This record gives sequence, structure tokens and C-alpha cells, in this order.
Amino acid sequence: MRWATFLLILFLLPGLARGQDADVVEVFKKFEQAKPLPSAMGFYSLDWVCTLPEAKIRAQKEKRPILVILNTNISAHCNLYSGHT
Amino acid sequence: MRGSSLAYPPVIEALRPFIITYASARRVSEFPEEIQALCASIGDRRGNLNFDMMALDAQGKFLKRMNAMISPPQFRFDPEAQGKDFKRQVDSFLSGMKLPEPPKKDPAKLSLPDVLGDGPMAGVRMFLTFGSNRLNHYRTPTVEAVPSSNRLKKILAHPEKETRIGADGILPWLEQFYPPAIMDGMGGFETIEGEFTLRPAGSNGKSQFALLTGEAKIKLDNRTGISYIAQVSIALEYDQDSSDLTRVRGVMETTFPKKDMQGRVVENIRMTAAIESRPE
Repeated sequence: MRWATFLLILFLLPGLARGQDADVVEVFKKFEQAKPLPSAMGFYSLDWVCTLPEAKIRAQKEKRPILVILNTNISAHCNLYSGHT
Repeated sequence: MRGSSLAYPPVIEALRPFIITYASARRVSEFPEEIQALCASIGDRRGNLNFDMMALDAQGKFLKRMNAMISPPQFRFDPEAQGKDFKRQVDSFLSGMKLPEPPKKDPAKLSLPDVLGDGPMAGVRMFLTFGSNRLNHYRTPTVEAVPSSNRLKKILAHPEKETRIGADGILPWLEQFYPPAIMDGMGGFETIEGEFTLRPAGSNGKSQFALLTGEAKIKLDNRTGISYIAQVSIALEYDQDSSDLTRVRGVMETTFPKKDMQGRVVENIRMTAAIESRPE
């Protein structure tokens, strides 16, 4: 009987341990709240490509014009696309 | 510029026919060679420019250039007023150009920075968003893509028990957690220090999880030495029978002080990063 109880507990233990930690669910919630909605990222709804050669290949294929946006900032390196200086 | 003029919805609609590319640097001589060649081909020898747009046809032939005037103070940092003024400039730039119909596109489909590679955890994408601030900065999120190194994946392998890792272990992620438009620095850090707890965090039957939590003290290399504490909470996911990291979702949070040139704090701005693995 004692052995049967022991084996039953041993069998149930993984199941008892199963289940995400509540903190994981909390982090998922925080992530969903922090990730911006597409409506807040209209800038990225434009058809961006990272290099001019890549843009030229696509432009020729899709028969579309290219817009090249250029900016310099002497006081800090900047990346128009990512938004980081 | 990204948060007002270029994000102004009528401007976005006007630019939809184009495939858009860019070059950003401290000076023109730091642009990629093909961009420098393009500038030279139209006789533009300027070493610096504020914000220019060039239109090329589908064969890559130069059509037109616009030197945009972006002056937020003139519009009291009002994004709507800046957007309207920029739209006026864009309309003038596009006048006379015969543009094709813009391709039909799902508005929810975005051209976001991404990592190369199609295996699990090729990298992460980080979305930085900011609380309200007096100059209406940061209205468009900053989005960075960070490739995963084998070292990072090894450090974040599923732990059998709680372990501690230093800030160095997730440095490529922490290095992206800084505010743009800090103009008196070199764009780097003086220090990034901290310690994190990595602990097993259960399973849902298909995947097992771990949690990475802790704080990093970040000090920028700018003249006024802006520093802040990043609070990190990241959930890591693994296949049930493997310790190899497959997926990441989490946040970094802080409030950083914005300082004037004399080093006085003029306001405190909330900064949050949502971090997700790529590809999803």
C-alpha cells in the first residue's frame, strides 16, 4: 500500500509541476501592453528597403519609383529607419 | 521628423507609390558609396545636409530633389502643424511627377527592421516607446533588430536551477535600451552594469519556460552623464525536451532624466522596450 501511494505521487509529480509560472503570464501581459500597435507605426507602413541597390532591383521589377531619404547629423550618428541616434 | 513630418498620415499616403530607402550618417562622406555616387552624379558636393529627398524613376534615373525644411520650434513642436507644413513641401516636390497607383497593401503589414536567418532565435526585435514629453519627441517608436550570438543563446539556455548572469550576458539587448536625440554624446555608453536572475519557470506541456529578471544601471557617454536603471523582465521559451532557447518575449522599463546643456534635469521621460524573438 505504501509503495502504491509512493508510486502514485511519483506519477502525479510531473503533472503537479506542470503549468507556467504565474510570473511568465505576467511578463507576456506586460509585453503585449508594451508592444506598439500597427496604428502607432504608420512610418513603417511605407515600403522601406535598407539599401539603394535593393531598391533599384525592386523598382525595376515592380515598375515603381524610388524615394531616397537622406539626412546627416554632425552631432550624433543617426539612423532614420530605426530611429536611434 | 520620424514622429511628426514623416509620420503625418497624409504624407504617408502621398509617398505610398514609392519604394523608399534611406541613408543617415554624421556627414555625407559616411554615406554608403552608392549614395555618395548618386549625390555626386547630380553635382551635389555638400558635406552635410539636413533632410533631403530624391526621387528616382523605376530605372534608377534621377528625377527630382527636395531639401526639406523641418523646424519643430517654428511650429511649437506641434506634430499636426509640422505635418501639414511638410505635406505642403511634399506636394510641391511631387507636382509634375507621374506616379503609379500605390500597390494594395495590408495596413497592418509593416516594413520593420529585422534580423537575417530563419532558424529559431535568429535574433530579437525591440520596440522602444516613450512617455509624453514637452517637445513631443519620440512619437514613432524606435525599432531595432539584434542578431543572436551563439554565446547569448548558450548563456540563456534553460537552467536546471536558478542562476545569476551579469549584464555582459545580455549586453546586445541592453545596448539598444537608450533614448534617441541625446545630442551631446558619442552615441555610446560609459557603463552598463547589473546582475540578473535566470530561473526555471514551469511548463505548459509543449514548452518549458524560464524567467530572466533584474536591473541594469546604464550610464550614457554624453556630456551631462544621463543615467537610469533598466528593469528587465523577460520570459524565455524552450521546447519541452531541449534546453535550446526558441522564443523570447519581455520588457525593459525605466524613466530617464532629460537634461539641458547645463546638466539640469528638465523632465523625466518614461521609456519602455518590448522585446520579441525573430522570426516569430
